Amino acid sequence: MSASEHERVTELLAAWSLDACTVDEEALVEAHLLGCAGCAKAANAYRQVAGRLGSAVATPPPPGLRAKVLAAAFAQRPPVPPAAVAPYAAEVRKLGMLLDALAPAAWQATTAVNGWTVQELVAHLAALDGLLAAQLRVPVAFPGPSNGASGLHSATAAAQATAREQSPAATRAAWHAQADRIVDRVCQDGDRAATRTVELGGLAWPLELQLLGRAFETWIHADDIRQVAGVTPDPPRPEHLNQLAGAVVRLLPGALLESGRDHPGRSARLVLSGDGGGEWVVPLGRDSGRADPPAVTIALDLLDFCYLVGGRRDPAQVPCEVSGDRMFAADLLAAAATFDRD
Amino acid sequence: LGERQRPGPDSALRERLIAGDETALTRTYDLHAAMVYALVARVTRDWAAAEDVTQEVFVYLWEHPAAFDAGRGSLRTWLATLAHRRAVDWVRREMARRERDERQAECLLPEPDIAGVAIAATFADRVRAAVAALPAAQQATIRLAYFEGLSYREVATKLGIPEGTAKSRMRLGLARLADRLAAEGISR
Repeated sequence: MSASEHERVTELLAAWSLDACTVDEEALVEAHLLGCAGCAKAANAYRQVAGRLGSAVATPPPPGLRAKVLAAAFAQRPPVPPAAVAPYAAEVRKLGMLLDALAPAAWQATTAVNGWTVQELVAHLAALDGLLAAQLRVPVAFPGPSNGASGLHSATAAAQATAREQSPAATRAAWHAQADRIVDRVCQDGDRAATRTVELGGLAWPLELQLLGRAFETWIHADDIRQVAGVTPDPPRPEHLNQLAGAVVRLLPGALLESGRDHPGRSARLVLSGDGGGEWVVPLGRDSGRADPPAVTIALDLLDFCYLVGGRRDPAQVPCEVSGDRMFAADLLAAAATFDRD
Repeated sequence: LGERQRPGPDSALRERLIAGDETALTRTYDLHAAMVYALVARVTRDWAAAEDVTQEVFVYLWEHPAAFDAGRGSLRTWLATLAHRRAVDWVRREMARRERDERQAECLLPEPDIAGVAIAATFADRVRAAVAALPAAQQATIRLAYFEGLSYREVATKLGIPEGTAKSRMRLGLARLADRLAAEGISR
């Protein structure tokens, strides 16, 4: 670099930091900064002051811009949050966008869930998320009755009572902000912390399974709302469906035992087809050695299986192919349908 | 000024953006979109451009989170810098397009109304007070360059001063502003 270039750049630095040079001068300054530590330091100092001028203004952008910007960003680079919370974060984002697009009258439409309105259904989601939020020690959206087996219903009733007194926008905001706090906390703690046991509604599960449970319910209820709003169902993306199915498979032996449908020493092969599908061997009871050949193979569509778990299919009617002991298959499907506790 | 800073919430946010945590982007948007949108609207005087450039800025951050160096200033200042440059680029393109159109149609586009660009309270009050405390000549030069998006040549023409004077007023004004903000405790 020449002394005259250095001099010229020194003179231009302040104007450059205000973006008040020509394109050619910008190029000259920026090339010079790469090789001149003194100018680079001065340039950053000017930039910081100029940036503070700009950072003092504020006008809320139109409400629709947020979703547009996020969609454009995620189309360029798909997000990869910690695996444990990814499906929940994705379903929360989808439900948030669905609720943003909802007409005011639709909030009072009756859903297929216990005759609740859309607003009451969102309050129900917030109430159950809230039990998890309390466990994670983040602020709860609708503070109410404490945790426990009976907590699910009383928490829902309390949140819905509060929601009936507020605007749909307030219920939506309370639900969404709490969901963001849950995701943030799990992101901060990382995947390793997701293996610890957390009790929710009387069930002590690893945190990662609780989160998948919340993802599942958020999706199923979002679809309930879509049905009311005349929008086509929008299932989770295949890798998340695969995680959800895997979680159900981990919990199935417990559900079989609890509902008295267990078969000690036996196992079943579960083949779920479709995007995100896979094959799992499910122990049907205690001492079910994985080395033994499964007593039955049950093949069905991954989405049908998920809808069954979500209480949206009848275990006796769901389309599936069974080879082997049909009673074991019926017990497994019936146990899978016991997870829905609305 | 310009010293390395201790790791703070911004560097945690940066780590999460790099990791691909989508909540880090939504959080950043919720914290800073109103600033980015207002700044671009002020420079471009065009609400549609403000939306487009705001989108560009956040998509850029999401695609290049490592470009933000948390040790050299706050994320807010960095976003303001990026937004301002993109806004000025938009004005340059628009000017070139208008000159072309004017040669063809000989008519000026109406200036869109940008009333409603508010200034955020407290922090902004202090920045505004620091700007107001500048000698009038420096103040006018910096306002025209930064908020009106004019080049130092255009500022010189508008104020009827030599180009060298416009440039030196920018240097002196920014240096004085830096001292004043540092004295007020606005370090980031």
